[in-house]
Amino acid sequence: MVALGALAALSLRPVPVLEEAVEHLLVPARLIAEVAAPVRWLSWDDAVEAAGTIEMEKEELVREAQELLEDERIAARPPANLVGAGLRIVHAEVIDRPVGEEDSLIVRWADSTYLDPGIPVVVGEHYVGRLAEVDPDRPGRGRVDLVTGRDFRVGAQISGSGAGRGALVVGGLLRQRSDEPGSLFLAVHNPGPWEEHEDPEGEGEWKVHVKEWMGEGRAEVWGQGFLLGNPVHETIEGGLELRRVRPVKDLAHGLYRVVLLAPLVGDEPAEVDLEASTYEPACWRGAGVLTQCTSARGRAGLRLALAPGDQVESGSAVAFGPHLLGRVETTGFCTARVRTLSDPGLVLSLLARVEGIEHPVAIGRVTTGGLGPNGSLRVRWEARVGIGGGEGSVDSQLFTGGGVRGVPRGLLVGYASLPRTTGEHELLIQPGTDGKDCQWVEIWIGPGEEGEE
Amino acid sequence: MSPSRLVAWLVALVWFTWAAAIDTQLRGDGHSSAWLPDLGAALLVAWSVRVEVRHLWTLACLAALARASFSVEPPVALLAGHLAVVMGVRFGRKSFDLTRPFGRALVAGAVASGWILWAWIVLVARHGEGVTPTWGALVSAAMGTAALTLFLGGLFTKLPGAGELLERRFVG
Repeated sequence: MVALGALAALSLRPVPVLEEAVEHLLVPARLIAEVAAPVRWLSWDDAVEAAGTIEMEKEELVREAQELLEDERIAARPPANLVGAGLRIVHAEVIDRPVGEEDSLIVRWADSTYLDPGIPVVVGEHYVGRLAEVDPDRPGRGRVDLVTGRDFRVGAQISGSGAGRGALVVGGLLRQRSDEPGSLFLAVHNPGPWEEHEDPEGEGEWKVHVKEWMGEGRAEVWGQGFLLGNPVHETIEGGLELRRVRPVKDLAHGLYRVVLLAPLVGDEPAEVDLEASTYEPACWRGAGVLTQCTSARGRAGLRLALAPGDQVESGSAVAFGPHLLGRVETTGFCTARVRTLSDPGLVLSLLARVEGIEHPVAIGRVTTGGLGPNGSLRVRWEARVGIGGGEGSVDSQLFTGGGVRGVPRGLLVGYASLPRTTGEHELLIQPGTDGKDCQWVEIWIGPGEEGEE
Repeated sequence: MSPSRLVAWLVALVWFTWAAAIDTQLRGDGHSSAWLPDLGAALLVAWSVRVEVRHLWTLACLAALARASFSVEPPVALLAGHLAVVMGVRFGRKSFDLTRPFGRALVAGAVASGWILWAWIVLVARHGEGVTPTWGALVSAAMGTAALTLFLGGLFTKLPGAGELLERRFVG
């Protein structure tokens, strides 16, 4: 009875070390799964056909994904007029957003580029934070503190304000308003008068830009002029005035690629690029599918056969050609358990090619909710910023975005009609492949030392 | 343990493996009928009501191992589920004759729907998300598995290797 109670507790509150130990003890599971190989042989012809189909469409899908990533790179590049003289642009990708550190990004840039903490981090014309820490052990890795952090402060000014007016200090997250689902606001500190201003740009919306008062030459000033968002001013219950800034970017989940503004040193290039390694064969390791794991209990997954000694991280992406199939749940001595896209509760970040919009749209994090009608996937999505304004829905092609450890950007997830409005939505994604006939997949091990983390 | 008993356990593992493999294969497209019986649950119940009480824990562990080889669910949750089943059967056997067809069918039905609920609880506890099972799905799973156990439960106990593990009064 005690053992049963302990097992039940571990089932509900897993201890990662024990989970891994149990998975290692399940070495016989590999042999047991092999006992059922004849069941797998029954669908051998389907497997060959599925592999052939994937191979045929692979070239076109990879090209589409690479175009998408290139467009994302272009969109992340800051406008030339905002990049101060003597600064260089260093492209970086978001490789992780650790649980419990929602106001930080773990980013990766070119290994050969040395950066100092404190430099501004931007995406296009948007200011998102500062480089807080450079990893001393792994070149080209660091932590970015976002403007949403509780202790983060940045000087700002409402666009077009005169001297001494419209000055703000912005930083930290304002408590989310329950009457505005999906919205996220930045807190405003010691605000000056702003309701008296005319709209200076004639765009119908005021804007808050970074305006540091710390003097020339300091890293804080290099973010000067970048956009923080739109000021929102309203009187709430009790006659209190509430002032806040609504960011135009989804700072909570929609940052996949950022740019660091660093001083130009010597004859180094003015722009340091970072190629996405999604489709580099060296970043993937092949694995055979031992069994499909579809249960009456609504769960769906795969059990993979690994070669002894294969180092595969939990959370790593599993792909069938250019299609994302799922993520590794746990790895054992020579097997891995994979949750596929139709397994409820799987978290993904998505990047969308939206019809009629030039640049890719960062969708943010979504959570799968099982199978929907006609082989579709149910997905829960909390949209924090709308898509292009307006109402209705728009067709899109969905790829993996960044910021989820072990999942590279640019793998095809599927096709969906996306609502343009903010708030919580349930999407139906038509997957690029159901993967039910695949018998050989690839697991992401990442470039360089990423797999060793 | 005698060699014949050891072989019997290995054979039992093979039967549970095949049951899990067939269960998975039948549900491969993700849109199988809710009435589809849970072969693994039916086999476990059919054997656990007749196997010697001291072997119940081994039986549960082997069934859980076989199931874990074909499942994305955490092995500890599967083991907990299987142990709970044999513990329930053990208590039930003290008061009821679960070897009768209707008795074992009732238990198998309860196990099939109980496992759906358990899997949902584990999923929600671990990942905060899960497809809430409907009453219809629970009843269908219970009825399908109960019917299978009602008609084929007796046959399961006559599978090669089973005789060595059953209580003497059921052999021969």
